[in-house]
Amino acid sequence: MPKRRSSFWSGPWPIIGVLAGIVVVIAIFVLISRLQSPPVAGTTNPTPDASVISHATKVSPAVLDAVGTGGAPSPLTRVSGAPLTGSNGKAELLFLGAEWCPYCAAERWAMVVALSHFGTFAGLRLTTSSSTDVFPDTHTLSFYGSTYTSTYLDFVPVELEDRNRNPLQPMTPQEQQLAQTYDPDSSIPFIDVGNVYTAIGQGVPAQLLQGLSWQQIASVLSNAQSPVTKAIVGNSNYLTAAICTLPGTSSAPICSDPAIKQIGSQLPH
Amino acid sequence: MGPPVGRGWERPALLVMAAAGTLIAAYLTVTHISPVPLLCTVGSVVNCASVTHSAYSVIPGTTIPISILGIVWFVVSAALTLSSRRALHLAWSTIGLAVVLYLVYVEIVVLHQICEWCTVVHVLVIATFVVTLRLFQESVTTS
Repeated sequence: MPKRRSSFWSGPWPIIGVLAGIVVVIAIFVLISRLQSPPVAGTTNPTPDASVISHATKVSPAVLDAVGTGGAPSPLTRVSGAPLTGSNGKAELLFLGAEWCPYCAAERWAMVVALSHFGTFAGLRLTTSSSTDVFPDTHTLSFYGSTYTSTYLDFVPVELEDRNRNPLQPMTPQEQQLAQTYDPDSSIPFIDVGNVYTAIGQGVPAQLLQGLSWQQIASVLSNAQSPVTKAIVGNSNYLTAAICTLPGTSSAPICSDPAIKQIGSQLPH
Repeated sequence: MGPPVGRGWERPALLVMAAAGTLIAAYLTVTHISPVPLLCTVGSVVNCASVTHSAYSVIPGTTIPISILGIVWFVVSAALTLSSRRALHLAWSTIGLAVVLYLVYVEIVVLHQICEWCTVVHVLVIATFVVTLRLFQESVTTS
């Protein structure tokens, strides 16, 4: 006949104790989370998968050359203002956008690809555009809180609002002046390439990115035949060619790339 | 005379949970490494795509999706269910429970976001632990 051991061990209390312990542990996690500083508004993920950043910042020259313009018309307009320089005296590229904006979401991929030819990003974060605007939840990388290091140019991103349209970063008076001068309709994204070229509004078609995750967008950038790659890298090549016209940038290796030189020769003068 | 140890509802339940967990973990793995869209909510708190593509979605130091470990865990759990090795199964379930608590910590404390697919997997692991504990209780008290 089986010998019954202690009634405590054979009863429901061990299971109840374990479940209660799990509930307590999760409650402690929630409490710790609440006691922390609130997460940065509008940023939905503090640390992206390293492969997303790697794919987006290291698009191969073969893909750049194969895509060329991607068949898209130039998004750039020639302007003639005083050279725009950053705090370090280098030529400046200004980006005005917002995390809720789906067109900004699409454009950021091209900007990350282009700017990675001239420097290094740190602290890029994953986010999505507004859930309630056109092309909802377009997956993108936010420049908010990121840093960019380059020996060739200064990159100044201004994310005006988060994905819920709460204020995020204000413009400086100089940035407001530039926006009023070159972008009187206050359309975003607004890109000022050193006061030599501007790009306003949709560049990369946001509809191409619908339903794609960060990983899917980033990983497809190695396929030059993909419509997504043609749109992102094509737009990026235009930006790269424009940056190569700025003072102090022409020594960057990417500016010697035949495809970039070819695109540069087609830019409006 | 009652039914033999583990011959009631527990073993079928463990096998069903292992099968469901394997399928979900496989789905998460496929969506991680291929362009298959992940069907999930994208919000400020519940955002599974954000979680499954975070830096914590891979085995540390590799690019291998951590969901592959989930597949392994559920397959081994099914094998242990069929082998009726209660103590080993309970130990395996305890490891799973510990990993689940760590991943819940990452979601709540680090990422501030919850992945609904992951939560289903976590519930399956916790439920598996509870059932294996019950089976272990039975085997101890009837030995």
